[in-house]
Parts: sequence; C-alpha cells; structure tokens
Amino acid sequence: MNDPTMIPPEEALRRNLVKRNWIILAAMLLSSLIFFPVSVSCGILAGGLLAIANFHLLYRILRKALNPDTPGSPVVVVFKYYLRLMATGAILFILIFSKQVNVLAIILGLSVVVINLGLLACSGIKDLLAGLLKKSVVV
Amino acid sequence: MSRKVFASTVLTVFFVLGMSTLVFAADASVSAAALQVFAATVTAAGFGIGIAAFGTGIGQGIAVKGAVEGTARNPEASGKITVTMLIGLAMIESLCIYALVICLILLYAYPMADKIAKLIFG
Repeated sequence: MNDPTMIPPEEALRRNLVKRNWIILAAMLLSSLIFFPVSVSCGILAGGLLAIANFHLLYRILRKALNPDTPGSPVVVVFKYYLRLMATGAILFILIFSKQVNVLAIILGLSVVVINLGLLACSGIKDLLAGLLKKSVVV
Repeated sequence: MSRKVFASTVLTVFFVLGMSTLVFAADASVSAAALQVFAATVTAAGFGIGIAAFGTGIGQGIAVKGAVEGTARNPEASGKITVTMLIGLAMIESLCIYALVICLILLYAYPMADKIAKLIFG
C-alpha cells in the first residue's frame, strides 16, 4: 500500500471514467458517421468534447479546492467555476444559434458523461448482485 | 338603373365589406394567438432555466457541504471524497446543462419560430 508507484483506487476509478468517456464518444461518433448526416456527427462531437472538457475542468477545480495540502484561494476557485460555466453556456449558445449542427445531437453528445456514469452504476449493481448471489450459494 | 339592381349592388357591397371585416378579425385573432404562443415560449424558457438553476444550486450546495465536512473530519480521505463528489457534481450539473440547451432551443432554434413570425408579422 505504501508503494509510491501504486495508483490509489479513487484515482484508478477517475482514470477509468476518463478513458470510458473517450470510448463512448468514439463509439457514438462512429455510429453517427455511418448512419446519420454530418451535422449530427458534428453535434455529437461538439457536445461530447464539451462534456469531457467540463468533467476534466471540474476535477481540477475540485482537487485544488478540497486538497488540504495545497489550499487554493476560495475566490480563485469560485471564479474558475463560474468562468467554466459561462464558457460552457457561451459555446452552447454559439452552437445552437448558428444552427450549423443538429441540436438533438448536441444533447446526445452532452450525455456522454451521464451515460458513462449510468454504465458505472449498472456495473456496480451487477457486482453487488453477483456478490449477494455468491453469498447465498455459500450459505 | 332599376331599383332591384341598385338594391342588389348595395347588398353586395355590404356583404363584401362585412366579410372582409370578419376575415380581418380572424386574421387578428390568429396573429394574437401566435403572439401568445411566442410569449408562452419565452416565459417557459425563462422559468425553465430558473427552476433548473435553483435545483442544481441546492443539490450542488448539499454535495459540497458534505464533502467539505468530510474532508475537515478526515483530511486523508480528501482524494476519495473528491472523486465521489466529482461524479455527483457531474451528474447534477448535466441536468442544468440540459435545461440550458432546451431553453436555448426554445429561444433561438424553435422549430415553429418561422411560422409564428409569419403569422404575427404577415
């Protein structure tokens, strides 16, 4: 456990989430490129990149805010948080106002993180049920 | 010009004028209804993002409160708490972003906007 090269489980979970975000986005993008027009693919790409960037920035802000070893100024944390939200709103406004991309595809792209977390919850429930089943078989 | 022709001409004029008044009234009621739909759309967008921001604010506030209390009690668990809170905040925030997208669609990419504008402005 004291091995410095060993990754803590929470960090492993976060890395796994980030990796799966990219995999889900790639899968959605590929399927949209095959079955739908380019505007749908552009919407999924824009929404997905926005969601993943938001997730990454949120982690960076939280890590700085909650790490007791390197406490950041609360003003800077709040400023960064609102800057991120404003940037997200501005990008979404430009995407929707320009009407160059499909808006439903943007919503689908923004759902990348939600789909990922949903899948994570499903796998957790599956593991839990498998554990309970094993316990009942042993008993 | 006989009396009958004169009477029929007057009646025709009255009929045409009366019908045009009805048509104008119907046109005005259609544009008023279209204006009402437009006003309702804008109101829905405003209230929608307001309610979403209210709920998101409460949810994120409760999550951050719990995380800060947990970190203060057990500073060594800050890593675990951060990742757990990250997942929670991402879920909560996505709801508000969805609401924002829907409101932006209602305001700037409403599918019926052109038809409503045509009905209002002719």
